Amino acid sequence: MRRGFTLGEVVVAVAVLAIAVLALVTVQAYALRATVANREQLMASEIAGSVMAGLQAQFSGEFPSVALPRTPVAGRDGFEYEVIEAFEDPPDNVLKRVTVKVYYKDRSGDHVYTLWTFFHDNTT
Amino acid sequence: MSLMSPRGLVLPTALFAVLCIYALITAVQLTVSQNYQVTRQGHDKTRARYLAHAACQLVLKGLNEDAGFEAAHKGFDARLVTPMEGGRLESWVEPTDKTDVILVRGLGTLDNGASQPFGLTVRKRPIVAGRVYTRPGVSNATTFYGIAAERLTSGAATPEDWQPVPPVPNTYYDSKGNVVDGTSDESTRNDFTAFARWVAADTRGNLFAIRYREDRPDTVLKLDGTTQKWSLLPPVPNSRYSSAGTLIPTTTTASALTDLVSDGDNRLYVRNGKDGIDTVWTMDLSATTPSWSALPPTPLHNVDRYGNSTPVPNRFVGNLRDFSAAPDGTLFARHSREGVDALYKYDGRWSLLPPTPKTYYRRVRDPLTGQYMLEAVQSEDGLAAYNLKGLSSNRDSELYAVFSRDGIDTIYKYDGSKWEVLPPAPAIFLQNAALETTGGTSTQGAGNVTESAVDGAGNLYVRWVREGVDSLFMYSPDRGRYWLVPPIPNRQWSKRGPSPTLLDYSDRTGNQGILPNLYELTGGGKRDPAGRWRYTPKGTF
Repeated sequence: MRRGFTLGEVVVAVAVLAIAVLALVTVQAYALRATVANREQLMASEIAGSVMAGLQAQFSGEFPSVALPRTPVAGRDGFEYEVIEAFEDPPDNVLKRVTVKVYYKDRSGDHVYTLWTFFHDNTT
Repeated sequence: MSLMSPRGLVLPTALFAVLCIYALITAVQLTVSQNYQVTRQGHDKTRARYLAHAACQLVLKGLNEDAGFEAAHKGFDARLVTPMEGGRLESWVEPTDKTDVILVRGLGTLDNGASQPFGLTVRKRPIVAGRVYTRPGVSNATTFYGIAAERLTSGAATPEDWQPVPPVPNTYYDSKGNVVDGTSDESTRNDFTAFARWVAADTRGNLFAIRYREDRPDTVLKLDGTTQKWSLLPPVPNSRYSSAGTLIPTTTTASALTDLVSDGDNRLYVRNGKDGIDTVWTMDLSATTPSWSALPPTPLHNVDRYGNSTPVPNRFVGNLRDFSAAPDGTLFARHSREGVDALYKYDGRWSLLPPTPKTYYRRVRDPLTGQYMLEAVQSEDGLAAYNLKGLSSNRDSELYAVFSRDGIDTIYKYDGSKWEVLPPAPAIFLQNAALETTGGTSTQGAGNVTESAVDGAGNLYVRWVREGVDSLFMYSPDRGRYWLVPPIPNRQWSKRGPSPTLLDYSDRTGNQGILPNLYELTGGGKRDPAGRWRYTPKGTF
C-alpha cells in the first residue's frame, strides 16, 4: 500500500495556497491603505467642518474678515488649512463666499478637501 | 486508496482553503468599500449642508434688499433656484404663526444627487434708526436731548451730536380738563417754555412728556416727529382705585402722573398715584378717538429676599416704578417693599416674573498677575437680587434689570421664560467734554448703573454715575459690545420767549461745559421712510 502524497500533489497544492495567500496579503495591504486614506479624508472633513463652524460663530452679529493663508492644523501633523473669502455681490458687498480648504497627503499623493458657503452681512 | 489514507485529499483541501481565503478577501473588500462609501456620503452631506446654508444666506440678502422678495418666494413651489458649480441651491420662505417671525428653508444638492436641508428662523422688524433721549438731572428741566445710535456705532460721535428737542410749550389742562395758555397765567406770564419730565419715545420719531407744575394738573404732550410741534394729548382722568380695587370715577384731571412710557408703536402708559393704590392708564394712539383707559389694579405679592413669593388676596400694589413696555402689549413694572423687589408683567393680566438669578459679578484679584478681574459667582447667602435698577425692555418683550452688589453691577436679561447674565459694562467714565476718560477695562466692571433704556433698534443704554459725572454706554446685543456715549453740552432752553432760545451754560459748570448729571433715559427712534423691514436670523434648524 502506498502512503503519503505525490510530489505533484504537494506542488500543486502549495502553488494554489501561495496564490491565494498572496491575494489575501494584497487585499489586506489595499484595505489598510484604503482605511488610512479614509481616516485621513474623514479627518480633513472634520477639520473643514470644525473651521466652518467656528466661522459661523464669528459671523454671528459681525461681518468680519476671515481670510487665512495656508496654516498647519494644530495637533494634526500633515494637515494644513486655508480660508479664502470673496464678495459675491460687489459693490454691495453684503454677501461673502467663504471657502475652507484642507490640504493633506497620503501614499497616493496630495489631496484637498473643500467646503464653501455664503455669509450674509446682518450688521447693516 | 483506503479511507485512512490522506492521499487524494490534499488538492480538495487546498481548494477549500483557497475558497475560504477568497471569501475573506471578498468580505474585506466589501467592508473597505462600504467604509469608503460611508465616508464619501458623510463628506457629501457636509458639502450639501453648507450649500443649503449658502442658499439661506442668498434669501437673507434678497429679503433685506428687495421689498417684494418675501411674497415672491413664499413656499417650496416659488423657491429660488440658483445653479452653482458642483451643485444647486434652492431656497424659499415660510410664514409662521407669528407675524414677525418667518422661516427660511434651504436645500443644497450636489451634482451626484446628495442633498441636505438647512433652515433659519428669521425675525422681521421694521428698520428703525435708534435714538436715545435724556434730560438734565435737575428737578426743573426744560430741555430734552437726543442722539442717534448710528453716530455711536460709527465711532465718530462727538458732544455736538446731542440735539436738544424743541421745548415743551407752556400749555396745560386745568382740573376740569380745559386747555389753559400758561403765558396768560399770572405766575408764569413770561414763561413760554414749561418744565417737563418723564419723556417717552416711539419708533416714529414722536416724543411724549409730562408737563408739570406743583400747583397744576399734569398734562401729557406729544412732539410730532415730522412737524416738530408739541400738542396736548387728552387729559388723564383722576379716577383712582380704592384699596378694594374698585375704580372710583371723577371728572377732574390727574395731577400725580409719573412713569410715562411708550411701547414703541402706538401705545402709551402712565401711572397716577402718589399714595394708595396705583392706577395705570393706557392709550392707543392709533385709535380713531384716542382716550385713556385704566388697567386692572396690580395684585400684591409677598416676596422674600430669597425670591419666594406668595399672593396676598384682595390687596393691590401702590407705588409701582420703572415702567417699560413692548409693542406686543406687555408692560413691566417694579414694586419695591422693604428693599425686596417684585417684578410684574401685564399682558392682558398681571403676573409676577420669576426671581432674578442668584448670580452676580464680583471683583477678584488674579493671583498670578495681581490684576483685578470680574468673575460671575453664585450668591453665597442665597439672596436673590434686590434693589433692582435700570429696568427697560426691547421690542421682543425682553426685560433688562441691573443689580449692584459690593460696588459691581450685574445686568440681567429676561427673555420671557428665563433670566441670563449679560457681560459687565466697562468701568470707564467720562471726565469732561473732551471725552477724556478714566477707569479701567471692562474686566473691572461698572459699579453704579442707575438707569437703562432700549432704543427702537434694540440697543441697550446704561447710565453710570460716579464722582458726580454721569457716563452713558450703549450696548449692542447684536454685536456684543459697548460704546461710550459722548457727554451733553450744557445748553438749555430759556423759559422766556416767545421764540425758543437755547442758552449756553457751559461756562457755569465745573465740568468743562458738559451736563454733569442726567435723568430719565429713554429709547426711541424713527422708522425707515420707505417702510422697509430688517430680517435678522435668530436660530438655525
